[in-house]
Amino acid sequence: MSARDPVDLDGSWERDVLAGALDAVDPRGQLERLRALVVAACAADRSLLALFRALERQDPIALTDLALGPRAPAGPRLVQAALAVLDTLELQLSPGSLYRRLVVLAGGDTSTILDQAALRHPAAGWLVALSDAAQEPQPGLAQLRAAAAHPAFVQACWEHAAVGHHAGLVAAARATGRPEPAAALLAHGAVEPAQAAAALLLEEHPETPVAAYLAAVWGPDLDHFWLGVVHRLHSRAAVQRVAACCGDSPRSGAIIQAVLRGLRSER
Amino acid sequence: MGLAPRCLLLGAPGRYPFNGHLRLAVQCGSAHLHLAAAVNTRRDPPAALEAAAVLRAKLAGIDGRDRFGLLRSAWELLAELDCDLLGPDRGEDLALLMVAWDGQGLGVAGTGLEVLYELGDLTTPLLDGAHPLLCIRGVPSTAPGVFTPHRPPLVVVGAAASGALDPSTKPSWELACGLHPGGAS
Repeated sequence: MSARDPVDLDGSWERDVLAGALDAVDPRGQLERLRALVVAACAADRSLLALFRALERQDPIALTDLALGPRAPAGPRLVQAALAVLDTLELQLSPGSLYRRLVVLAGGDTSTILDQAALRHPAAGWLVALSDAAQEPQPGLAQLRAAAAHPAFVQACWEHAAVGHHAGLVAAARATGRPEPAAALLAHGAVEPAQAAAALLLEEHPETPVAAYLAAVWGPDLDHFWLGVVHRLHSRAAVQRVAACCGDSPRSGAIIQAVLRGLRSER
Repeated sequence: MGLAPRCLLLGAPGRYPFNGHLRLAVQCGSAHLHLAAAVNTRRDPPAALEAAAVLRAKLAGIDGRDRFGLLRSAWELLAELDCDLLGPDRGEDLALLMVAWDGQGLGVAGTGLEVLYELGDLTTPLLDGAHPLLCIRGVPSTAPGVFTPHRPPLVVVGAAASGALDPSTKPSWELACGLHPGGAS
């Protein structure tokens, strides 16, 4: 059979191969036939999982060529199968290149790729660029969630802040309850996003020592910053936490008291 | 004197340049004192902030009739402070800069400082080298002397011993000291 012949996905060889039965297959010698099968299976929305798992055991190099090579077909079926054999693919290709290639092949939904990349490499610097390449809705969030308990979390916050991943950092503050995303935003001059992150922490994670981290990056006089936080708050408890953060300036006190009165009258 | 003199402390290099920083203004009649300090800076931000709050609360009790009285009061309060309250380093990393003035003039004092500048002037420090005001960090065992500049600067900027930002690496001296547009003091 020529590699250019139409592939009969219901042929016995094809069925066996897609089911992972490779006893009678020489993956390197029949690479073009396998490639044609992979392309046809993707086009027909058929699973490649069993094939990729079998190739993982039998011929990782052929697997890498079929899954990630320049002629690999784009689409969710291929990506789904590739994600199932990441241990092997990561031995064949550097992780940064591997996940960038998968993002290209995925075309549409890249969230699983980002999640896997972040879970497996929470400290990797290339995740910052990957979140852009994958058009993550809140760039940086996948990595920061995965790295929340990792020593590299703080560094990752600073790296995402440096490239302007503000929405991701705000979302990460909320998701992790950690103060460093807000601090990273403020350290990079993103005052309003930092205020948004601080407001979420005050409302939803009152135990987080966000004031200490913000003062450490910004300086000891944060009243002006906090006054920009107050109007984002919805609960009296959170406003009272801001009052505790503010200094003793009459202006700050008057504004906070006015906000508290407003909240009282609303309830 | 028109505008009130004040002082700032340069931040430290690193991710948390103003860890443990505080500023305080005190007025007693016609005498004023402004101070900037950093304490417990090697600890994490919550511990540093707590130590800064302890120090600030203590120094808020500064009292005196003139600039010398205010500075003396500051040193006396520091001497009676229970250093255990400043964290495990017990204030050994304290850097403190004070500017006190009254109708007769201005005095500068401090501890843990390496160089004093007038805001914006990096080339001609107000003080550097071997002046007795400049010493290692920590709570001094005896009250340091008072430096009286010939020409009183409006803003004195201190560089803490062993670790201060180079202000020329920041967009402005104010930012290098953690002072932002719209911020207080």
